[in-house]
Amino acid sequence: MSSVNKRILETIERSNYSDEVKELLRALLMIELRHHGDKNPRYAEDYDRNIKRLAKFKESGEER
Amino acid sequence: MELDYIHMKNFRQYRDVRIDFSRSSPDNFTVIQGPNGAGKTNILNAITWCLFGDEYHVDSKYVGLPIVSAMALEESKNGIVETSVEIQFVEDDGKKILISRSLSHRESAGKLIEVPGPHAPPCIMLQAERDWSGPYFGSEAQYRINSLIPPEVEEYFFFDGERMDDYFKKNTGKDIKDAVFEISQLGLFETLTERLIHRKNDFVKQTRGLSSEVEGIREDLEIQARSLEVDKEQIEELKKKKNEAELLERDFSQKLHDSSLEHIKGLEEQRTLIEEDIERTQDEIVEHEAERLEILHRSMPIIFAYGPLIKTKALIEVKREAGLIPPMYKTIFIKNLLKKGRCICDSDISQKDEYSSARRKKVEAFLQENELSELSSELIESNVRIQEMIESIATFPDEILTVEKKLNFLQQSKNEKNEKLNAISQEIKQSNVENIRNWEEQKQKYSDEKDGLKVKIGLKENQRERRENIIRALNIKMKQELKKEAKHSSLLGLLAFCDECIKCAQEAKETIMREIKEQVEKKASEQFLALIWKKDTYKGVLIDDDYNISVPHVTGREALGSLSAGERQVCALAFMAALNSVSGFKVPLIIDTPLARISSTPRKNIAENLPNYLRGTQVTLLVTEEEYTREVKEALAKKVGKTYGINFQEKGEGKMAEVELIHG
Repeated sequence: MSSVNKRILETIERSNYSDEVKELLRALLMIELRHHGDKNPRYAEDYDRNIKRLAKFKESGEER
Repeated sequence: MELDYIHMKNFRQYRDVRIDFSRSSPDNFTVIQGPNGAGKTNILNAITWCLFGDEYHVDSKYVGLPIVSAMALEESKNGIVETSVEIQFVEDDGKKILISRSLSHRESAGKLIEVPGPHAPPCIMLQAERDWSGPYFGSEAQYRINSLIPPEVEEYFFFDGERMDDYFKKNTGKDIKDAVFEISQLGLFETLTERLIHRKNDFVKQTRGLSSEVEGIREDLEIQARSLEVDKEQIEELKKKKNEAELLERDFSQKLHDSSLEHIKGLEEQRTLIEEDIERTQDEIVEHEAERLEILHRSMPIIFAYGPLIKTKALIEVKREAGLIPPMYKTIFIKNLLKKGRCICDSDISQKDEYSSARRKKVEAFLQENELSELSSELIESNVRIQEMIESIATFPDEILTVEKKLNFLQQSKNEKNEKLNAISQEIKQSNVENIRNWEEQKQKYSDEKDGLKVKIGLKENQRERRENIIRALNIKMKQELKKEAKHSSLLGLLAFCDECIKCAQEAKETIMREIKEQVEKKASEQFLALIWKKDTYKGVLIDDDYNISVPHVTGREALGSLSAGERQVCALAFMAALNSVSGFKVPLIIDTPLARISSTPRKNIAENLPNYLRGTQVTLLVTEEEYTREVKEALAKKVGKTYGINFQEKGEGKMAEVELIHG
């Protein structure tokens, strides 16, 4: 079941961004959708985990 | 995704009613027919209540009344009555989604008390490969339902014909932009970008062992970021106030427009036309101001450098007249001659005798002279360029004067039109009808308020832009400082990644926004022209950069304000259907009283065209007998798979409605 508007996902997919950026945007959109409507969403931990993971992955990819 | 059935129990006038919807294309239209007040809109409400826990289309006569059937309560004699709505959808692959919501009530001492059920509503079950998954209850179920149909965009799938007429009267460009934002979920992108910026700032904040220089920049960044937040909030607040003022101004203008006094009505119509004219003049002024700026940008550097240019040109001329430029021979030619021991006249100068030595010295002197004038080719080119520059500004006075004249003329014309507006306003204010005087004063008050707020928004936006530039510069400075220390290399990597993602998110948002706007404009225009009965009257539907909708008349005059109620409804129908079709969500459409405000002949045209632009979409029409005329029935005959009739009856205090299958 796709929950993020497919137009958004398609735009990200057909862009020239790096795979890590695409993956982060998709992951963050899912987090936002999950917290949509929450008054005080606790998003920081989820954001940080994804950013750090993918930044590290990107860095190691560039080194390779 | 298509609607399979809805089952309502004790929901307002529906005691126990199940409606099966027609699903198989090409006849995937379902018509539910009933008189006004029979409960058509409550079917729409039953759907939104089941999905989102609220009735979004509730009629004023039902506001505050409990959803539980009054008749069922009376019959239960203080027992518990359960209200429930169950909806089944079928996905494209044939898998079913069952959503239900129930709420129990009982009456105690004349008061209605809610009785909690064993599970928090709503409930959703999803058909999987072999079995069903779920049931899921409460917030988890709601999350899954919102993923299928976001509540913010439900009005673009469940249309209310009566409200559609007011859509453009009550909504400003900003509201429409918000609708595009909602329907395309771009709000998620905006929040995501803001949060990425917060996280980026927090990464720096959390880092220990920063140098005092970095610490200072970080503090500055924090102050600027906080101020930027305040700026943004203030801009939003000002925009909200401006929209409110704009709507109120429009309301009072409409009141004057609808006045029973022909004279006032005429003046208001005249004013609307002049205001539109002023808007066009203003657009022309902006266009010519841009042209003036372009001429100035092109010519001013030459004008400022005119003196030095003329002097340079004169110096080059002197050299040229003295025969120093251009040189008669290329330096390389003379060098080659000397190398070969030949004179320009080809005599031998390689010998050591007096004659050869004397000639050789002459050629060497000539070379030296020539080397000095080696710059001459550049000077010649410069001379040509200077000449061109001087000539290019020869037309400057004429060009700038023409634009200035045009601008003066437009400005004067705008002033004259403004004076006419003032005169109309004064005339209306002198009316001997108190209401008219009050409406005019109110209109003027909100118009002034709107103009003042526009200026404030402009100033605040400038301030925000300046602050964003400061933040950008501070970020660069911070990165430069961090680069100096190897221990911060991973932090630098994180910040760079965040920056890249922020930039990409912003770019993607802009792309989607632009594409959606273009598609909505194109589709709304096509659909409006297909549905409207005055085929040669309007050019189509336009959406400007601020999302203001306009319907240009073939003469070029803006016509949205003067559309009839039926035409406005068609415009809104076309616009909403366009939004729906580009939304990215495949959800069935339910349209309540789509043809109520449209007279008989155009109805047929709409009924004939409706299936074409909603091709492939499952549609349910909630109609009155007056709307569902013989012509409409004939036009829709091939598309309608099922037709229901609502039988409504009042029994004592309670009301009851039954739905009967007429055809299908």
